[in-house]
Amino acid sequence: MTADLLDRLRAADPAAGATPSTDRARSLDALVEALVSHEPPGPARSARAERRRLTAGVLVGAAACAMAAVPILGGDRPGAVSPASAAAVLERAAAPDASGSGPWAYTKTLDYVSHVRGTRRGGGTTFVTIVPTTYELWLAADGRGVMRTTTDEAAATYPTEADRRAAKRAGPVPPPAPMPTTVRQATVGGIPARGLADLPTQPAALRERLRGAGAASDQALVQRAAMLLASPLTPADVRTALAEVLRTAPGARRVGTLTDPRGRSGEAVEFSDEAWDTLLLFDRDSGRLLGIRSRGKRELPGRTIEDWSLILDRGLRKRAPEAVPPAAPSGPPPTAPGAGG
Amino acid sequence: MSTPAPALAAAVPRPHAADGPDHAAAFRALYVAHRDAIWRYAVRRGADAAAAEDVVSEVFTVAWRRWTDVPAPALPWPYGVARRVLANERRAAGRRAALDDRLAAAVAPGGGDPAAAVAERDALLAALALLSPADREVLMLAVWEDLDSDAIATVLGCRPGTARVRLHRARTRLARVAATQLIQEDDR
Repeated sequence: MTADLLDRLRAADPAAGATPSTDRARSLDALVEALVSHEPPGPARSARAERRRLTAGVLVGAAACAMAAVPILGGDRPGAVSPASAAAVLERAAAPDASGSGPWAYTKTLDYVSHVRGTRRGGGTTFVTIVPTTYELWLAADGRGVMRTTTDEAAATYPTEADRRAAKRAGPVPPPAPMPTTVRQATVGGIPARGLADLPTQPAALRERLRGAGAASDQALVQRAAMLLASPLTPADVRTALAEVLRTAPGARRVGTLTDPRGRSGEAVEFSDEAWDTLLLFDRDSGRLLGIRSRGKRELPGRTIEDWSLILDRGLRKRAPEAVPPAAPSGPPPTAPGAGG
Repeated sequence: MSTPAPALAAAVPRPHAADGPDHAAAFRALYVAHRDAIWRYAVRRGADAAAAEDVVSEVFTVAWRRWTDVPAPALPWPYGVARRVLANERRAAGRRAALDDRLAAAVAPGGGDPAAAVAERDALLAALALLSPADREVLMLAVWEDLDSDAIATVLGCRPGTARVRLHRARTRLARVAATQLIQEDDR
């Protein structure tokens, strides 16, 4: 019976015959050519592709296990205004976010990325290491842009002592050189960047738009709204609606003052369900989003996995670096309207 | 290079036969042979086109940067890399939720189509979605990636015997859940 069932399941393959579109195939081809042109083939090295987050938006975090924030509840600074509730904190999240001028929306984030390294072949072992990784994105309003990824192998940490020992046996890993890469169609919080200006400005409609873009769960809704808040491309009236979407999201509670892994203090609001906690950290003075912490409570038995994605810088810029490879499959490197400086 | 043909897989040079000079040619051949298979692997697990592109690019970036680790023949090694990439992505804030949502959407019943074949297909996919992630993965590897238990063991990082047991149990659970699903279809 199960053999017949498996045959029917085989016939039900939702990806039967699926292949990348012509544009995506060309993009992948270009990546392969860039690899063989710019790097020698290597032994085991850092292998977090630069493009892993090109479509996930500005603020897609990565797994981190050992970089827990230090909560300083009740540690308000003298003279600082202490918002009374999560709602009060979130209302300020709509504050203007972009500084500078120019056609490029620049965002710099720092994530703590888990890598699985090593090999089990030949009696070896795999281990986990957490490598701070900086992502810089120059994004034009039409969705094209340039991304640069920098890993800090010297600052790597290890979730367990066994991981540390295995890493020591495996030896040092030479970090790949930062290589700007071309972004073809970036999305921010699941929304195509070129569509940000057309997002609804009514909170209910915006909430439905985000739901329709894949944010089915409340946690996903919160994360995507936060990603959009962090983008300099998000219009002011949409930011106001996003703040309201967050303010009315289920389970919000004010955590109080909290310090992120870079030592920046802010006002924290956390959204919780049975499996996940999503914490948003806001600057106490400006209301700007400083970072997102996502904590999985059911991913590994007996452990929680924390992801921190910190926004280090953002604003409008006149220039973007030249990408490698120099030409995107669908056209030349992005040139934003009016880009001249 | 944008239209790789599966038939070329047989012509893929053994990576380590490239102990000679042309690593790039061997790597390109590996890419041509397996790009679409990795793409489908990602799509089956809920990745949209953009995420699938990320997975494929990550897998081949890993392959190039760990060239001396790529076995010969290469499969199922790339599936193991793709699995870790997707697992890492799921842990990532935002992406995790997005992929989970997409996975649910990818295997949820379509609804509304009266054709019996479509209804059965939907019921089967719904049954698959109701299984645990571990059961679902081992079944997908066996049925859609067409891997035997030895290859499944390589992808999952377990012993072949363990993979066989997992597959057997997953089949049994799928049959049980599918029977319930199909009965519910009949009851409509």
